[in-house]
Amino acid sequence: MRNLGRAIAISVLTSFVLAAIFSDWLLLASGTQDAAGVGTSGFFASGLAAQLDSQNPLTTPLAEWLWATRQTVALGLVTLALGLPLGGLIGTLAGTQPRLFGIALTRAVELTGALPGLILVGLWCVGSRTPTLFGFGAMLAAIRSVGTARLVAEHVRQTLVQDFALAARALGATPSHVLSWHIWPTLRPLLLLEASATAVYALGIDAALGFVGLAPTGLSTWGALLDRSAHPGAATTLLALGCIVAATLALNTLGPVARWGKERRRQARSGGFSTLDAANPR
Amino acid sequence: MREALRRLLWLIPTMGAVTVLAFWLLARALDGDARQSQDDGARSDAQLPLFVNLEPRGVREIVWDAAESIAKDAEQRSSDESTSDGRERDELAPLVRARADAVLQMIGGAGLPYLLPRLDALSPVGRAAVAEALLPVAVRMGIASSALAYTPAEASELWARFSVERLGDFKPAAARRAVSRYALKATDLRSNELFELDTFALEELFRQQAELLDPGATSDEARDPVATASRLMTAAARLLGKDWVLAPGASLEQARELNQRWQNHWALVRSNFVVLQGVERLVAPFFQTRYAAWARQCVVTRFGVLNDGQSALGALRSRSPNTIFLFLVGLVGGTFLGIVIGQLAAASKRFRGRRIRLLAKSATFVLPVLLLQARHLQSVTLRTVAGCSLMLLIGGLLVVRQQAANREAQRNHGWIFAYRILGASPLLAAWRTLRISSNLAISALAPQSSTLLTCVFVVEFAFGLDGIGPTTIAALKARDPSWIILVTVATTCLVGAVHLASDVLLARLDPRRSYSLHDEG
Repeated sequence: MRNLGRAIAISVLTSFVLAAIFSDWLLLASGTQDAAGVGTSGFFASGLAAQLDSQNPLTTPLAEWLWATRQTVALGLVTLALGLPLGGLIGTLAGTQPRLFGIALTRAVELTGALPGLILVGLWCVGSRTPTLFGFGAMLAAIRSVGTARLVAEHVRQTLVQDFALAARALGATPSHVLSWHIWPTLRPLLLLEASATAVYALGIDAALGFVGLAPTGLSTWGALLDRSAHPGAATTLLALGCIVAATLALNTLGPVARWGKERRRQARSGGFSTLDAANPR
Repeated sequence: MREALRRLLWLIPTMGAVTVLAFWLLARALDGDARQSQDDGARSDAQLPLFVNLEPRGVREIVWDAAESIAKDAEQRSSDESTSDGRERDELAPLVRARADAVLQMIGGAGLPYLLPRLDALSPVGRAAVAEALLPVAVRMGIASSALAYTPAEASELWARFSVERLGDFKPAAARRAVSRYALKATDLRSNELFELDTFALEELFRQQAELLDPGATSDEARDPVATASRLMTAAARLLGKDWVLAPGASLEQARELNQRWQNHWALVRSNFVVLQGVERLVAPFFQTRYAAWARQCVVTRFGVLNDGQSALGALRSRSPNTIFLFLVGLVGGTFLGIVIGQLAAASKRFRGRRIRLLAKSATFVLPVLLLQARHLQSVTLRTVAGCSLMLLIGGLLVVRQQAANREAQRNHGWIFAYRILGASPLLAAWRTLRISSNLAISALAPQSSTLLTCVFVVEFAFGLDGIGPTTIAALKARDPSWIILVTVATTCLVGAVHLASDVLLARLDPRRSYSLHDEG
């Protein structure tokens, strides 16, 4: 049963990524002339799309959905590609240099914690005259990386006082060697979990912004499709909503699995006890 | 106590940083916005740097820059006419010239003590052009009949004579005397005396006006404050080109209200009329910025008014109870619900693990559907109840997995085994571990606050509840900095309060924490 859940989650995410990669081909095949989804002739438009949105023959929900999927996947990837390394780097610095970077990180956590994400990202959206997907992702990554850095810093601090790290230092290993050989490998499970949480965060904020009508102008993500003033068609909204829910569930299913899977394999190799067991939600 | 004090002290810089961050993000949107520069006189705020001004300018610098622009333009024209080589002039030159003219005329008498002595440094053509640009000021001061009646050379001569004969009167003491005499009785002689000083007298004029209408000031029976204020306001209106004057028979309250408007305006434009010196020059790099201008405006207008005419502070006061109630339902109710379900889940074999995940997944499906269908609920009570239920669900979901995981971890402790061996039921064991296993959920209260606030705003928007959320979303769309920054300050305070409450609760739940803090000194 558990494996079935994982298989479904992987299938869902893979299908979204494939749809994003081959969206151009699919749009051409559906006969849509541009990204806005104008045009109804073609295989997809005459079939599924026409059934989904029969009241508005000028838009094809499938074309809109494909374009939105492509942008949403790109948004998630940009957020992950920027947020995780940034959070990892800041967290490592804060964990190894608590007096300097640790205090700065604490203040950054307080600062981002004091502002609701909706206001912070909403401010960026209204402030950008020509918002780009990269900028949107970078903004989300910057906010999220603070939380990631806090977890990484805590993990680094705990791991640095473990026997194996102290032994390595006693044997003459440099701090950079200890970090690269003994600390960073143990970060992988944590970063995998954070990756899923970051992607869910990006989806959630994007959906919230779209729902309240603050989606960045010119971008057409799943969240933007939830904006009913811009997309009055019920089919488009429902399709976007379904995708957001499905992707959120899939990421929530896979995130912990990836983390604990890695951790269990590490335990099996070392035969030791893991401190991460304390928070295992099995 | 020390921890609480530390948190409280850090709240102030955090609030400052939050407003700076929010203002920076908003300023990008407001760059081209004409609203900023409505009443700002010589310099529009949009042209000022955001946070640090490395070249702060007082009246001396402003008038000299304007004079140089006018002189340069006049020299350029003169050389073009003499050479006639057909070179095209800069398209913006007339605009720059017109702006410089307007600046000189607006600043008027306040700039004369710094401009006239330096006119000789300009070329004869430039000097004549500047003198000509100052003619409307001369008309306003009553030393010239009409701006059109003078040639540039005559205008130059007029100002040279004025500089020798009258510039010595442009002293603060003279301004104080002229304003006091005019305030007592506005005879022709006294009016001439005041208007010859032109805008140089404004600083003193607004100071006396504020003193006169100060509610705490002792009343002088010989002077009618409303009539005196009316005279001062009429003079200010003439000098600044406004029509903010008191109607005949106005009450003291109306006079105070109008005075407040004048003082607000003066606070915004004052730096254009006074020279920077002493402390003022030291703080000018930070005060002559868009952020400081906005902060000043917020202080004097108490965060201004919303689009519906309601004052921002009043709107926050009237709408915050709904938002805080929903937030507390999510935070306190949700945490309580999450802790209870988490404990039960860990205690019961049937309810453990998979069922919790199933519950979370079901809620993930239910939440968005509820949000989308929220508008169909007609009754306000029903919408409020639905909103509260949703916040309860969200708050519970944020906590339940942490609580269950933490409780699971507690199961492996020796003292729990001992309890079980001695015959304690799973429920009793869950009850015994409630306090220690709730630490994680309680410590997560503060970090989850911003997430919960986002959820509150979305829920209020979806259910059409009268809270801060819909107003904030409308303010974001309208790019209204005052309301947004007011809300960010309010949320910072709220999250700070949650931090404090969380610390106090943690210390109560786990006394070892306070002991360790105490030991660490």
